[in-house]
Amino acid sequence: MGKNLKLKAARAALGLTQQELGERVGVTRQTILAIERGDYNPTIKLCVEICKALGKTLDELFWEE
Amino acid sequence: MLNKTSLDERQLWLRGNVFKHGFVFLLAAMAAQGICKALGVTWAQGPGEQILILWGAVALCWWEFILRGIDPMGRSQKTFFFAMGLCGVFIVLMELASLAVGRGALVEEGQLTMTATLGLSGCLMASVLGVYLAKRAWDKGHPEEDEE
Repeated sequence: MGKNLKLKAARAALGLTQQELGERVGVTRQTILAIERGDYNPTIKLCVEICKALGKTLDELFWEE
Repeated sequence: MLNKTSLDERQLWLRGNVFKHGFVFLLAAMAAQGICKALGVTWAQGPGEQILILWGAVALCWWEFILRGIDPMGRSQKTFFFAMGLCGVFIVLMELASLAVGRGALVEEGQLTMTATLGLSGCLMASVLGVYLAKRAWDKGHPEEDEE
């Protein structure tokens, strides 16, 4: 699993830190970091929460061609 | 949302891995001990072997919890570490004092004595506090901010 640069870019575009995004979706900063690094494969529930927090769709953040 | 004692999904996954590692260690240690028994080798007196294997598995799990930053007990975890660690230090001091006044030895007939077993158990207990303090010092030197 590669790095999730789309998630990182979407977060940065909103000016959110990993800590702030984590607080919005109810996880720790380390969990957001692990997802961005590709070290952790989140559940669909968390993916949806992240998409809602960032105003993106699942495709836009988590679909890999 | 997370409260002081709840874990998020990644932490729950990691916690499962920690228990798995502890269980595998326990099984491996018990298998090794079984082989020793079958070969007629006893390396600790009384229930010392079982006590050390059990404490080894428990300490291993706690070390991994601490190093991976999982707090299953929330705020009370700190109190628990200090209580366990100080108990360990106290046990080690008691056993050292016992050795100093010439009551017992560490090894007799190629086996660890109960004094040694209790001393090592105390070291394992104290090590949990040691790892916790070391991790805390490390975290202070590396404040939380966005990482690449």
